[in-house]
Amino acid sequence: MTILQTNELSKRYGPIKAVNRLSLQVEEGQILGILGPNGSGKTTFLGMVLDIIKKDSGDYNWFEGLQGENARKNLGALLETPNFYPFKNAVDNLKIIAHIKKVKNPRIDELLEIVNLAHRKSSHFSSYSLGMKQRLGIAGAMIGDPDVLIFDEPTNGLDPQGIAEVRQTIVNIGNQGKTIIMASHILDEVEKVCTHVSIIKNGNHLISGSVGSIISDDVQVEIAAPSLEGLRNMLSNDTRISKLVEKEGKLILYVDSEFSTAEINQMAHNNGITLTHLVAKAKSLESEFLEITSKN
Amino acid sequence: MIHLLKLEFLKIKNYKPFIVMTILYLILLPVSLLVTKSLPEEPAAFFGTQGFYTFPNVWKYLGYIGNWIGFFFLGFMGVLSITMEFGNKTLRQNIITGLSRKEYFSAKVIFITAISLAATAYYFLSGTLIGLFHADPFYLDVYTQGLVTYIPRYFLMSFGYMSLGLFFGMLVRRTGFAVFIFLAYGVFLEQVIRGIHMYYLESRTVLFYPVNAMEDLTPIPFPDMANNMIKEMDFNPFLSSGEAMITVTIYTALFLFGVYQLMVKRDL
Repeated sequence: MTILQTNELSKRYGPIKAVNRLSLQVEEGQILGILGPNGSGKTTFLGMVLDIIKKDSGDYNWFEGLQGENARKNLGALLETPNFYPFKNAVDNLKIIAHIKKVKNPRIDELLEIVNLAHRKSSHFSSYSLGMKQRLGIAGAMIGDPDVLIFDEPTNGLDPQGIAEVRQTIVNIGNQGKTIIMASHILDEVEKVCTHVSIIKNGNHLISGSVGSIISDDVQVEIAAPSLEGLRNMLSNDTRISKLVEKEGKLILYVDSEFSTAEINQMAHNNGITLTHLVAKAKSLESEFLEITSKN
Repeated sequence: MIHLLKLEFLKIKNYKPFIVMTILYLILLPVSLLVTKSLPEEPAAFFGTQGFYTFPNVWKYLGYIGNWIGFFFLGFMGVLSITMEFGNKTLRQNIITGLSRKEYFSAKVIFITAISLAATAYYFLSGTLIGLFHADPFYLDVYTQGLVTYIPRYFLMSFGYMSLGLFFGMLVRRTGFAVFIFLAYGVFLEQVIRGIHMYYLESRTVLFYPVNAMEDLTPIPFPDMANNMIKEMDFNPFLSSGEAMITVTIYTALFLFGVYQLMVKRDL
């Protein structure tokens, strides 16, 4: 089933096009990362599909329109900062969410256990640290066990341990077969957590696909020798090299994964060249991302 | 409806400003009337302070006091019930969680209706107790006639102030600023506007302003003094109770319509 479909969704703030005719599709079971630099329109986009920001044009539907206006009751969402009543404790705050969603048995203690807040369940929300607030936000999103979860920058402002915990929690939720939509500007996070990715910049949709398909199989190899000229001559006619760039006294080869560093080393040796530097770098989403966003 | 009312009460449970205002309302309404007992009997204002507490006068005096207290405490509750949610971004969260904007609006209207009913019930209770204690003798028809006259007006007054508060809260969003605007409008801004109106058009139309009409639902109860004033002026400076009720009903509907429009159309 298609969980979310948007058609040319747009929003402008004065002269700025925050989201520009964005069409996306999220399928059941995907963990979709919406990736983009700060200010690229990720939160505005999620705000529109959650009806807290009014769209200017375009439209969207949840669950193929089968659940009408009440679709949000079947989603769990944490948008930007976690928002709770500061003068209430964790349990009372979660009870309000359960009341709105009409969840009869919200299993609050169990959820607080999962996000590691059980020991502070009677403290006022205002006394929580940022990480605890974020974790309570995740517990809130999980009330009623929704099949679809939306997280906007879920690790923002957390310490390394908190980041690891939150990511692990999200992966665990995803492993239960739930659909997750996660906005993030952290490439590494999307790469580690998501199955699919959509890259947006300045409100424009650049590319979508599975994480594996966006990251090409190409490998980068950095090599250097006393004479770069000799290296260049040696490699210039090799078809396994798609691109060759000279940078900071090194040659960077874009090669397909068949071409191993051992072979390169052997080849140089056979040609009487001694390599002073030989490093293979698996291509990351980061370099793809920079390449994709700088082109557009 | 019960679901939304319960939601609103879950929200304000252990919200201190609300608790404080409720307690102040409950104490100040009867006490403000009863402290007049400590006033010197001479010069007896119009018919002696004893006349403050008997039926049907107790409805008038308690209603007049309730008008002041209601403006402050019920009005503030109206403002806070919405600005508290803007301040904590819980309005956003309520919508994200699954309330529709219309449901959210309905919840607020149901909530102020319930509070206004409770405030009116307390007015009824206080008035009845004070009146019975000073009734000598007790005439049932005087008692019930007072009830029929004053209870609906008191409810309309409470509901009107809360709607006005809700409107300013929704419009301004920030608690401090919204409370300031609410106070400023009720205490002097409307007077200034009416003054300008009066300058250009001296007629009874100057009476048909929201806070003035709400005040005239339970007007200042010094009939003799008022009668003297009326004689000196070209027109009666008070709205009749019928005029006041219709005017307040129309304004209340407009305020709530404004809240609805802001609720449905704006980014949250």
